[in-house]
Amino acid sequence: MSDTRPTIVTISSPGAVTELLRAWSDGDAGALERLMPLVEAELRRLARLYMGRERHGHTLQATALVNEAFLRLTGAQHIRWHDRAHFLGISARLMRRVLVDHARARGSQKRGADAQRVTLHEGLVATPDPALDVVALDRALEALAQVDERKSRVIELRFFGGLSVDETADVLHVSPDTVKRDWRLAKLWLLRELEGEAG
Amino acid sequence: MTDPARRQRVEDLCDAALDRDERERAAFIAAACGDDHVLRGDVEALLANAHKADRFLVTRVGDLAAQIMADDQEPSLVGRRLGPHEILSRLGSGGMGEVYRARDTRLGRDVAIKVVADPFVAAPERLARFELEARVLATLNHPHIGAIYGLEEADGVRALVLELVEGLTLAERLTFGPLPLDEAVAVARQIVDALEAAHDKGVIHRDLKPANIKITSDGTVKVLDFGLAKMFAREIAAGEESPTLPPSFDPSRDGLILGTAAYMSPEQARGKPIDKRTDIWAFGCVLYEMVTARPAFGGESSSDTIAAVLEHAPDWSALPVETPLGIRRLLQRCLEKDPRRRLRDIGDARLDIDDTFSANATADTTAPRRVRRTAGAAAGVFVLVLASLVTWQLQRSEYFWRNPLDDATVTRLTDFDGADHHAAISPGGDVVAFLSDRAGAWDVWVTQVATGDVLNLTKGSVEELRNPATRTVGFSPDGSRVVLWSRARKSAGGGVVDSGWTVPTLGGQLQPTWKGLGISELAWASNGRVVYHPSTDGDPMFVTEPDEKEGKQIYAARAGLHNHFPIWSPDGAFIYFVQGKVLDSTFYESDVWRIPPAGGQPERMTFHNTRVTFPTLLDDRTLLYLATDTDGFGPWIYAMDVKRRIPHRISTGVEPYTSLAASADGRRLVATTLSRSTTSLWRVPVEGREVAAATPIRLPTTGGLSPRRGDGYIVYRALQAGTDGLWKLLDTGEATALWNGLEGRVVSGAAIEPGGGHVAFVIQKQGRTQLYLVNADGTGGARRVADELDVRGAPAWSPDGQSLAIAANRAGEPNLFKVPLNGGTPVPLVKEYSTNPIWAPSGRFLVYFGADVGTNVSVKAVSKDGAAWPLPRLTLTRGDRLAFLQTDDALIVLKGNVSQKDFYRVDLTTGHERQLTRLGRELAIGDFDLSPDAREIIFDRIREESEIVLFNLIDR
Repeated sequence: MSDTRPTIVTISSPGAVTELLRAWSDGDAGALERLMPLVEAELRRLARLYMGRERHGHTLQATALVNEAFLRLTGAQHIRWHDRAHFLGISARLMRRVLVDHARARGSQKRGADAQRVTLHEGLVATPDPALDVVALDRALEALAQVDERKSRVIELRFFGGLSVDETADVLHVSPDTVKRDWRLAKLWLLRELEGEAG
Repeated sequence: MTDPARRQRVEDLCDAALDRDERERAAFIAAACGDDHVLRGDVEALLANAHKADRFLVTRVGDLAAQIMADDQEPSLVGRRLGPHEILSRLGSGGMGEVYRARDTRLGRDVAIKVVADPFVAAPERLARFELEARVLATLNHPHIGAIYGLEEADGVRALVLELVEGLTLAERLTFGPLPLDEAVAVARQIVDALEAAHDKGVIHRDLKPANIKITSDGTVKVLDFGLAKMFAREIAAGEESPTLPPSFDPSRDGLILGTAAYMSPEQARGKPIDKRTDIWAFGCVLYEMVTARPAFGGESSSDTIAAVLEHAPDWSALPVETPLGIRRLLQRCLEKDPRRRLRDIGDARLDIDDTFSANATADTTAPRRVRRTAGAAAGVFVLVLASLVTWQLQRSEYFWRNPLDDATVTRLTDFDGADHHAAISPGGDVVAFLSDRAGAWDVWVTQVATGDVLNLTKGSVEELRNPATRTVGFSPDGSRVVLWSRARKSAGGGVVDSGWTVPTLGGQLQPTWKGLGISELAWASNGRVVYHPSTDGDPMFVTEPDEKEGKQIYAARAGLHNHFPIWSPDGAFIYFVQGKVLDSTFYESDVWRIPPAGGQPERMTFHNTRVTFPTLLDDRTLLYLATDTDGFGPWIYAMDVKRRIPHRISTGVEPYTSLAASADGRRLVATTLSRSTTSLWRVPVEGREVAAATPIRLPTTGGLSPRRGDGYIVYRALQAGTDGLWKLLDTGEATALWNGLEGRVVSGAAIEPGGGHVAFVIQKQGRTQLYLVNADGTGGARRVADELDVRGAPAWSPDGQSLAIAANRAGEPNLFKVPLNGGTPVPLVKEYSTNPIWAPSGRFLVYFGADVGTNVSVKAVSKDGAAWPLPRLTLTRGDRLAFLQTDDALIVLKGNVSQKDFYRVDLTTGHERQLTRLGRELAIGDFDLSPDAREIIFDRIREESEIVLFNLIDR
């Protein structure tokens, strides 16, 4: 009677994440609410793993974090997500949401309710981005999207999603040259916006 | 810039400018814009930051996440090593400390490392306790329990090494909504299995909740953090112990409420004593949440939640309508606020689940078809089968079993330094007698339960009182006299004789009683009958009628077996006793038996085959006793209904119990429990004729046992990282672990190969005792030799290095075997009871211990080929040890009583002996070795601290 073999149960979590992603991309805002804590937990785990590797001198692949997170969460081998570009696009957006929300929460936790700016901890990992404020960047991207949606997406995909120029071009159905041009101009636009805000 | 065309123009100009050299840009823009100052302003505003653009948004997203997501308050251990563990990343942090993911480079697996914050283990006794807890938790070996592999320590960082379980927690899973009923039940069954296994070992989870339950990708459930809540919480508040409660029965004495509000049982929330039923409550909460996706008890704040736990019933209407009645009933029984009315045993939950689902399955599929076809008959048979199945399950799980310690109140009777053993309680339950060394020597003391007054009854006048293998103290049936036994040393020829004494309970003259019978132990029934056994071969048991002096023999075991701890059942119908073997002064492979006082075949009551001692009866049906588990931990308190004979471990926690006794009405139980044991290694020179003083050996480990001298080093065993490992200490002070004990604890002294290449040692795991070899320099892994042998005691290496001699189980008794090291089959060397082989330096013969009679052990010898070898008569007391000096004709013998041993040189040709040391009595010596030049003895010392606890079993 006391069978100690593990009973196999089909837990639908990987499928559930895939479903939620689909629902969200179809416009179900509620899906995002349920997706966020899962993704955040997973990203936090991975982020720490990466931080650890960084100290070991391993190099970090640009898209690895997002890919790994989503492959794990969606049970990569099972999903039939033919539109890889679509998947990457959603991943980048989700990543942005998670990072910005987390930075915002941390900012308010640290500085009280009126926290506006989050300065990244520069001592941890050497970064060429001086004092990148993710929350302000997010706001500037929103503003950019008002005037030029595509440029905002280019930044999102390349920066938050870690996508290459060609991958970004694929997602947006434009040429790589357009992506390069958008990337260059959008950065100038954002810098001006951020400077204005800071000033 | 709202005009798209204009924006386009600005961008085109910027783009073109960026393609040009920086020095040409201003001129280019000026020319391109002409006198459109607004356009020029816009373009210049964008380009103003061009020099920053190359360094903008170049951070890789992983780094960004790492910076944002990782908590940077604590210094990270990432990148450091902890023993064989390479710390990879931080997984999280909690009240107990940081948790990391680490790679065990030795075993090639990833593990979780829970770093223990300094305050938890600052004091040595807390550390010892922590290590003991970890050691017991590490024995929770179950497919549905996240394993604790052990403790690791390096550079002042101390950490628990845990199984790394990947997957979602149940809490994360529940964010998607409730589990379908069949999934919920499948998960619940696995949780039940985990809880049942832990409860059987006396471990209570105390913080079961969805966040502590992981579901791996293949659906296997693992319950994490078993017992850790208590382990860490106690360490926080160890300074605030209440003096009246022993640790194992009241974790709340810490003054802390442990656990998570929403899953906390009412008794836990009230800070009352808790037992395994608190886990049953939490299980109910988890099951409820699985099927509803909402907590059974919730509130805006913790205090609201606790109020709900204490006062409100869960919202039963939230259960899905299809929830079967059996599951609803199970939930109600688990979430019963009064623990006395709650489900008693988690195993019963499985019964409820199985019943529900087997009934459902039949209703859905097989039954209707059959009933339709064969009408009543088949249905009748089916009902019969089902009924007998249920009955069988009820009996198996002991549905009606009740733990006699449930709701017991517990008092600690003594809280002095020192060790207390062999506590006995008067038939009326008002006086407790016990052995204690608090005044230096072992004496019999009494304490009145009501007043706490203590009195020394023997005051150093009786020697050799302590014998761990017998019950040493008792009461006369009217409680007026305390009965005690000792072994007085014979004046000539070595060995000891048994003596029984009585003394008035409230103090007075010691009277030698039962003189001339050679009684080594007796039990005095309320009707005046006495059962006793002298210490002769097979411990023959005699029963006397009231006022009769000499009794009638009712039973004797075969030679080598011992019958100890006799006790009468209250109705006088049976004598219960322990039968088994004694090795190195303690029982092993023993069990409880019983026999009618008129004699006949004894009946075996238990089947532990471990160290079973101190049978005690609360009433004619309820037998309690002490037993160790198959990994050698314990002894714990067990109980059984003698009609059903299913053993239940009833003591919780990690304290080993060392004696047990009950009052005549079974309402009071007294036990001694080991609170701490300290070990150390010492050296004493033995060359000159003068007796020298011993000095301690500095150890890198917390204590040491069974030292063996190598050339330039000592090999010894030590409790480290929660288990007994084998260590090598160089004379230069460097130490390495030869065996870390995680795959089995080292249980006896090692043997070093002549020449020093290898070390042989013995480990115990899950009831098996096995011989291993390891390179003496610590390189390479350990390998098992003589797989087929179930070995006993310590190995001895032949001087030619070709073979090992060791005792192993053969036809139920230890026999010496010769284990060739060229891969050949072990051959029996002595085909009778034989243990503890020691090679003569010439390699021509070995000496060994034969079967012990009473507490006397004869030393025998056999040639290297198994032929008889003459030896002068030499009788030692059980627990004594010996070693050869450099020649075949002189031995070093460690002998004396349990608490005072010294080293003697014995000449084997003349029988002459000379005392070499005067070591004092404060510490017991267990094992020793002689340096190769025979100038120095190294030995271990053991100091135990214990206390007496009294259980009031109110409901009886």
